[in-house]
Amino acid sequence: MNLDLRIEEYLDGTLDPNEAKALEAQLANPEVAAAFSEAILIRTLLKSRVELPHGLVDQVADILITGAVKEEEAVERVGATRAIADGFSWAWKGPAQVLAPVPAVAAGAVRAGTRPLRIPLPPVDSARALPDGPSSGAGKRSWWRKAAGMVFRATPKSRGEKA
Amino acid sequence: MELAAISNADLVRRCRANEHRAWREFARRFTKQVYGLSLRMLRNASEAEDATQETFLRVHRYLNRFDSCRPLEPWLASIGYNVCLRRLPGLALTGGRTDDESQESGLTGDEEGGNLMEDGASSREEAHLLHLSLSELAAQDRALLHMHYWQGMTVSEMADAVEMPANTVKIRLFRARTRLREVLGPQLGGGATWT
Repeated sequence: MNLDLRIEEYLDGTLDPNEAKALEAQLANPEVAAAFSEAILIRTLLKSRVELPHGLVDQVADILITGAVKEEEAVERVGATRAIADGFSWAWKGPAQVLAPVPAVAAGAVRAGTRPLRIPLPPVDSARALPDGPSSGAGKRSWWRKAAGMVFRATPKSRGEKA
Repeated sequence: MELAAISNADLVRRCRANEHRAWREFARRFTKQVYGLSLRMLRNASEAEDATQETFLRVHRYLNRFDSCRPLEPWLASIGYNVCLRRLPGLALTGGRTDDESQESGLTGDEEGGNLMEDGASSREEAHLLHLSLSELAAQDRALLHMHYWQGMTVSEMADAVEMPANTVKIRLFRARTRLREVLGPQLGGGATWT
């Protein structure tokens, strides 16, 4: 390995220990000693201190903090816009979807190519909620199924259901 | 815990949470490093100042992408290096500045070298000499020297920062040092006077 490279690695502390010992033994040689001194000198010079311009740290801090504030404002703006959009969506679709039972609305909405609004509903007591009583088998259809069948006439037969 | 005492990883976490005090500490901790690299590469104080501000703007924008498991300094150096490279085409890649321009720079002799320098005046003189000698090198090589000797980055960290193979970094570093020695040697009267 080149002498200069070995010296640099020695000063970096990355030279193999055996090679390091060999290099130390060579220091008696004036040529090696001079190369060693030069390497140390250059390292020392390269560590020259950097003087920061007055106020640069504050300017940088202001840039970072202003950026942080802008980011917070942007997040708030997005949140507010989303809330308005959600409110608008509710005002437009909400009442109609609340009035109709969910499966019928979902079926109609899927057929119409729109996405139904997902509303969490409480569990339904079927004996009380349905006018025909609890569904107990074929031939009995709830009023809303009949209504849905009237509106979306193609569905029952194509899916193999009895009319 | 005092912000000045927390680790870089914790500081980054707090900055991501947009704590203003953390950002201020971030600026206090790293402005010198970024400005030093910019100054070495651009060799003009006002250009270096602009590059530093641009670097921190990018840092702010991309901090969420930074992998906190890795050291922060090479990542910062990488951003600073690329910002300076983009600014370089308008300037000379090597040399060509007058003494007046070099006076604009903020480089002075290091206190660590005090045992080698006889007094403040000679320290300034040698720093100025070094500054002129560095002008003989390409901006990328100046950046590598700065990262290695001033920031203490390893070859692999530098390779990541400048997106070069580690061997290329080693070779460029070696050539830069050799060139610097050639330029500085005669003016300093050889290494023997510095033993």
